[in-house]
Amino acid sequence: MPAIVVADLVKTFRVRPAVPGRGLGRLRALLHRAPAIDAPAVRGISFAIESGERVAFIGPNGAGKSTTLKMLTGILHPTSGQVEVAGFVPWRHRRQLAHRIGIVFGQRSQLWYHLPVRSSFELLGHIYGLERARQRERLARLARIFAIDDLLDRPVAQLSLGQRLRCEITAALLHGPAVLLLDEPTIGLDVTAKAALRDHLNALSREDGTTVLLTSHDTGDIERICDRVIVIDRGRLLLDRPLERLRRDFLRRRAVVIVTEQERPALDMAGVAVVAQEPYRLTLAIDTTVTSIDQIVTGALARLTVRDLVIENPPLEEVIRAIYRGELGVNGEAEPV
Amino acid sequence: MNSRALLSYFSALVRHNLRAGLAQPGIAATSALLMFGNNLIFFLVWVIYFANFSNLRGWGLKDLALLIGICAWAFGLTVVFVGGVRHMAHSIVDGELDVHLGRPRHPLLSLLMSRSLPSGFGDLASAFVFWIWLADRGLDELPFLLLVATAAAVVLAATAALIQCLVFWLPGAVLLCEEVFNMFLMVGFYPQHPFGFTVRLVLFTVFPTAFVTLLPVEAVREADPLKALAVLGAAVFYAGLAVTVFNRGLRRYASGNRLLELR
Repeated sequence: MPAIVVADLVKTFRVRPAVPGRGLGRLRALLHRAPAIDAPAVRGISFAIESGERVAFIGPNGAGKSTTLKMLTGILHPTSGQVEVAGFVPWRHRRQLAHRIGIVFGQRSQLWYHLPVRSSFELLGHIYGLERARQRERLARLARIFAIDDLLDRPVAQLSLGQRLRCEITAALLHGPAVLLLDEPTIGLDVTAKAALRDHLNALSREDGTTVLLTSHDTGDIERICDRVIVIDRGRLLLDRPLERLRRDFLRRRAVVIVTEQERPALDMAGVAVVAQEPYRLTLAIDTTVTSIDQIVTGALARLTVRDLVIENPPLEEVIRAIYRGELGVNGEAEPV
Repeated sequence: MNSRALLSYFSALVRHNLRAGLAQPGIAATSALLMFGNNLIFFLVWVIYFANFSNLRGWGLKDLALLIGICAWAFGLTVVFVGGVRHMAHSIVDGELDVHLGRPRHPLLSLLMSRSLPSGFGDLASAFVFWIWLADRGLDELPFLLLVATAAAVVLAATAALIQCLVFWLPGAVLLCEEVFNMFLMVGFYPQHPFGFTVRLVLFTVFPTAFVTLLPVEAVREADPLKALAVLGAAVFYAGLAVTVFNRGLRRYASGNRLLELR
């Protein structure tokens, strides 16, 4: 059963253009206000997410990611379209839905800044009407998964950003939601804190089967947490596919590293560019639309004495950049880049 | 949700809000003390006035002390318990409501009770000084006084919320909302009985400071239960109106979206 179903979702803001000019001109413009115009933020997107899936919802700034996420939680009302999250229509059943979802806004906190972390959790227990025993048990488990045992009695003000985010996610999960929505969860974190947070989220997903939908600009989050990617841009869905297929379908360039017995290895084939030639080692960039990886491997084995051969995927970053650049086919279907 | 769970939620909110407000006891005590002194200094102006004039359209210094005490109590209670109302407009425009809307509760109460300003304790303490010492009211009058002044606090908090809800329709008016609220408070701290019909009509309707100070003072001076009932009625009416207008505004909430700020 799908945890999230979105059909033809549209959100249009009515805005008045900013008043241009200065001084008297600005005053005059204020008296004769410009007519309001429509500013579409989300233009008819549709997708479904099964229970237990971990999905990245990505797009450039202003693509409509956060707006969509907020419609999924009932914070914003859509202009048109249908949404069901955990069986509820968010804007009609916001309070019931809140029991079934956990939300983490990377730039907003639901912890009380000057109070110990434990106090905020205690208040959340009252907000969600949790039984004390159940709350204690749940907190003990989450504290283990997110390694926050020693942070519980410290005021939030004294935590690092990474520690605070781990506590924020724990706060969002305290009531045992089936769906976790994360908006830029690793924003501002250093490399170590990001890696730790991703590990903790994976552990949670493995243990509880929680459905995860996250927005992020960090491809590391996507690669290490998610198994499916939905890309939107200017409010439209560009593509929706499993992460592995995305890599496979979109990457025409692969890096191949060959370690050889020959001191100065060379491989001259169509669609192959030499990136680096070092003693006993050759790094190549392969255009797979010209020459397949099979042909490269066969050619290398025929012409060189190969000790090792590594085929590398280009970074996801490159794939996403290509999608944003609009290297797409008709009907939103992407073509290999 | 049953009433027991609701009460437990409400008392947890009050407890946490107060603990957060008093988390830095030194700063809390200093700001409360400063506010206490501030109120007394403000009263000095009236001491000087009444040293030169015998009365102000029938009111003496003790009546002014009663008025300032009630206003200080109403304001103190508001900022101590629902301090979030002070910067509500900013919170709305900044998208802070997102967190409250993601919870299974009405967002207004948790937004209002998300802050507590300890300076309000100075207001609350000074109210007793004004009533007992400067206005010379008896201790036996205190329960009636507290009832009327607390109802006035509800009117004040509700009106503050109503004023700040303006940003749902005019997102650029954050500063305007805060200025209008300051003006409301300022009017409340001054006697309103000398005004004529038109001004009084405004003060009893769209800008209801009359329910915060004028009517409570008259209710206590004249020991008039009907006037006290009118203040209690106004508390219920303006609280209800604030919730209704807030709910209407929520439909326009754009979650701190920059687009909305262009409206």
